[in-house]
Amino acid sequence: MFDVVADIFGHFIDPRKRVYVGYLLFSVLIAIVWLIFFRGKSLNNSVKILFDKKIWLSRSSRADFFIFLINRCISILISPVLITQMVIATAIFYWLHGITWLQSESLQHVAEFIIMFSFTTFIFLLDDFSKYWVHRWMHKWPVLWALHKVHHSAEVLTPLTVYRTHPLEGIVFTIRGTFTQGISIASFIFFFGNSVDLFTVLGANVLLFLFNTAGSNLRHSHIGIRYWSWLENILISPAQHQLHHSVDIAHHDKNFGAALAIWDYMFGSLHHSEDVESLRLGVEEDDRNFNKLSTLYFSPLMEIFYIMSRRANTIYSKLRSITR
Amino acid sequence: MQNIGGELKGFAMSLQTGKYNLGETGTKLNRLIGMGPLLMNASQVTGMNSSGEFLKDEGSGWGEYKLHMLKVQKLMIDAFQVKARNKDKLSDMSNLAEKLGGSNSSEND
Repeated sequence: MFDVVADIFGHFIDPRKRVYVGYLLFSVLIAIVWLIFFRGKSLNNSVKILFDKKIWLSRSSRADFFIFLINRCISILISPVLITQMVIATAIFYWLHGITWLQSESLQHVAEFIIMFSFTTFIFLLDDFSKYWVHRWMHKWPVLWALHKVHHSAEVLTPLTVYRTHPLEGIVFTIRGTFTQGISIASFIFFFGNSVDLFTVLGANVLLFLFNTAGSNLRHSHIGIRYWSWLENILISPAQHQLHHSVDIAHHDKNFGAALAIWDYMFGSLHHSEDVESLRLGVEEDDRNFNKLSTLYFSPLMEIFYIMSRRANTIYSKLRSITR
Repeated sequence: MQNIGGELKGFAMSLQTGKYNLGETGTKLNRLIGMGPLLMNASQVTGMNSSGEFLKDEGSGWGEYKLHMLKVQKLMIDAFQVKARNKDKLSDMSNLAEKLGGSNSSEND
């Protein structure tokens, strides 16, 4: 029980987590400044808009809150059995030693600052790139979409919506992170030796710290901050991510990027932001009540079962027609 | 390098002649360390003939030898909980992994 409580509160006091209290405060500040200077609202009005009860006390937001709590409990049970990044890193490290034309610590004489800069940047880019592709596959593959739909079923967005995740989807994300970290750690320590380190601020990767301080929590909010068009080709703005959650078919399968928009730009899924006040959010083609916890947790499993059954039937029919 | 490798072989043998039967750990140590260190000309003692003379042949290669030494480090930690760890390569990775804060994440973008 203590572990669960510590894990829950840990998310708000760990600068490596999105909802670290410092990042939330910065997001509030950025939102208020934006509403005052770019939307011409008064301070009072800005605070009322930001903390609108219709958003924060909606059924969708309450579901986000309960999912966050329940998932923390599940995570404590499941985490010990999942493969860790050290297992992957050790396996890759050993594999690299077995490649005869590669020399371990061949780059150890490179200046420490350059090693740290390279590692910090590499892991940030690899992490963001892998997040883009996993997110894209979540939208394209029916089995993964059945799980990811839980996140998209949110009808309003709050910073806790980032944790509106089916536990099986959480396992997919963990495996992604495990491989990203394992590959980065093993390859850098193999080539650069023990000088490898991370530039950090408050213990978090400095690039992630910047991303989170610059209002990453506003991506899941009703504050539609838009960047200049040229900047939205590089960084995902809050409005771009809110558009990603839109039910409008013109916005489907757009803006998969986490921090960087360059992957969307490169692979043709970029959509610049629009006026978010007119956006409707959620999963329109599905009439299930996704604010009920039982629906959120169990209906994706039923959907996956039906998908796999239909696939199995199709394969069976094709095999029968071949063998006749 | 040869002195260090020779000392390692001696150390492994002394562990196996102690009062405890090392079992599988002893077998793994012998396989990883080999009969002697890898020499500067990449040769290594690979066996013994019927006259008791050591046979030398081309060794496994430096990459593989280094890998075996890494595995010896890990084996010593896992089997004997060695605390004093000088130049522990795997602990560098472990420290870095800890700094990254774990891969367990349900942050959904």
